[in-house]
Amino acid sequence: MPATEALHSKTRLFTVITVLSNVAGNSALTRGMQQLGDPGDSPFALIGALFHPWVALGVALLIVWTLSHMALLSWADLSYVLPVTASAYVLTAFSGKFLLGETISLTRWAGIILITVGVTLVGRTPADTREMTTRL
Amino acid sequence: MKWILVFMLICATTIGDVFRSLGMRRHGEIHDFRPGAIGTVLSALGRNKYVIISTCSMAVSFFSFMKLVSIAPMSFAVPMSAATFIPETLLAKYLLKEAVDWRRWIGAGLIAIGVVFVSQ
Repeated sequence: MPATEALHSKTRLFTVITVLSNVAGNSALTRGMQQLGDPGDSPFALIGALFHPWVALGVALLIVWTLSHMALLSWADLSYVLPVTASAYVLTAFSGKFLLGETISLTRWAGIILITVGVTLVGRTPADTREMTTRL
Repeated sequence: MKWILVFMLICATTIGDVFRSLGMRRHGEIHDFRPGAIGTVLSALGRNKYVIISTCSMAVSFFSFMKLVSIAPMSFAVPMSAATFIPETLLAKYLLKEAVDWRRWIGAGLIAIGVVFVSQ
């Protein structure tokens, strides 16, 4: 497999992992925090919430998101990674509807279409355009 | 309170993403994903000052998000974080020296507008 094609495949794989772990992590975290309710202003209450099963699952998935996002940024531009992983916003809307019982209005559907067009547009640009930043 | 948390989330995420990008570029492309190699990478990243700044900033972002979703729906909280698109794209161009062409600007703009719609 040519190096460029291998990089494209690796970028696609890590984009999918980043998006799915982000959506699943945010959904689990939200479910847990909504079950717990407002923890108040104490930082200890927030730390204590980390031991709730749904919150803990959300944190574990968000650690996967963090690591895959970091790996992706080791070879791809931030201005590329940011938009192509935005499909997570669309999946989050569906997750909110089907898992958390939230509603999707017509305006929200319009937003989903705009995001999809934007992601497609940026996805057609090369992943890596950056000059060496080691001098910074 | 809700908007203070949104502001904290946006600032912390922007700083976190930019420093994460700087740190990972300085580290170089990750090729080897075997467990031993990942351990070596994590050990190197633990000494990378940009990654350390990014991790601290992302911790602030995470706890702001946790508090936000306890008082607002996820369909509000998640799209609000997309307000980082514009400052992050600007910083990517001017600080990280990325070639942000018209497709990336239009794409980022469409996504930012789309996210506002999704949050309605």
